[in-house]
Amino acid sequence: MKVFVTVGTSSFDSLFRRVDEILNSRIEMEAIGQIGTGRYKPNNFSKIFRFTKNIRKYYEWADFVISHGGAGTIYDILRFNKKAIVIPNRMAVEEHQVELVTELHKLGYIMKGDLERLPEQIELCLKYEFKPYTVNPGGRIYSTINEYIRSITG
Amino acid sequence: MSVMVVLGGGGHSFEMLKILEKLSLKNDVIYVLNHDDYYTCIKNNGRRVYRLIRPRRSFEYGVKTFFRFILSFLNALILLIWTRPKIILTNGPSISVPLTIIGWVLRTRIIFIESICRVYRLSLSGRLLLPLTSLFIVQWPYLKKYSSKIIYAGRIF
Repeated sequence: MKVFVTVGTSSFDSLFRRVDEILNSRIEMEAIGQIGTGRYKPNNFSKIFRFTKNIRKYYEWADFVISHGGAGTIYDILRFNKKAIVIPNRMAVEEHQVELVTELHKLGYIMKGDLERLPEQIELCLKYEFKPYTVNPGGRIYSTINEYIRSITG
Repeated sequence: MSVMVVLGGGGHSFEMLKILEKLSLKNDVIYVLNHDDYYTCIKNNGRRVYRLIRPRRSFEYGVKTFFRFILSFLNALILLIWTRPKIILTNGPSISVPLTIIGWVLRTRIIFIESICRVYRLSLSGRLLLPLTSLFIVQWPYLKKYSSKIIYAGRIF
């Protein structure tokens, strides 16, 4: 069972500590970690790195993903259609990761994770049928901005 | 006529670059980054890229923050007088606070696109800067309740 743990440009040492701990007792699990700016370097991962230009490779390698709740990471999970446990990092500014994760969990696209319950959530995640996400083309955001800019510049 | 695009690092940069990809901006673009942003990837060739002292680091309070705040405002004032953009495009990182306030005083139009992360509540910078914006877009319908001026226009993904 292969898991990719990823935290974008942030740091989330408590997540890597927790997964490292879980790996001690689960020898069938293999993990690769993208640790961002984190200080903690997990020991039981088969590979860790800070950043990569080709993150897709690791998503494709993994059976499922464990991640922080940043927008860029969630975008990758959805566009690569990956099973994922997403844990909002409570240390993030204004706890801003909680809302998006909660909403996408309610809609059935991802699983909202919790460091305490992570071992049981891993079991659940593997069995769970996630709803496939269709990445939308962006609604009217672009046309709204374009029209506004044109209205000013003439 | 130029457009200033604020790239605040991390998810702020991710979302803004994603939006820029799909905008057909024919204007001269001025990019602004945090002074300590080493991760936002934009190619420097021929582009106008400036750095701004951020008013606040994530977990810093007290006297240091106060001085940093003043520095940041002075920095924003100088940058805006130097570049004189007609429009500022932002999604609310901390550097957008001094840029928006001073920009508003200088009669620059402000376009604010709330982050996709904000589903039920506006960000602090969103709530603070809302009255100064000419166009305020959110990505979740729940946020329309804050003001009739807010436009919900779908999501970037």
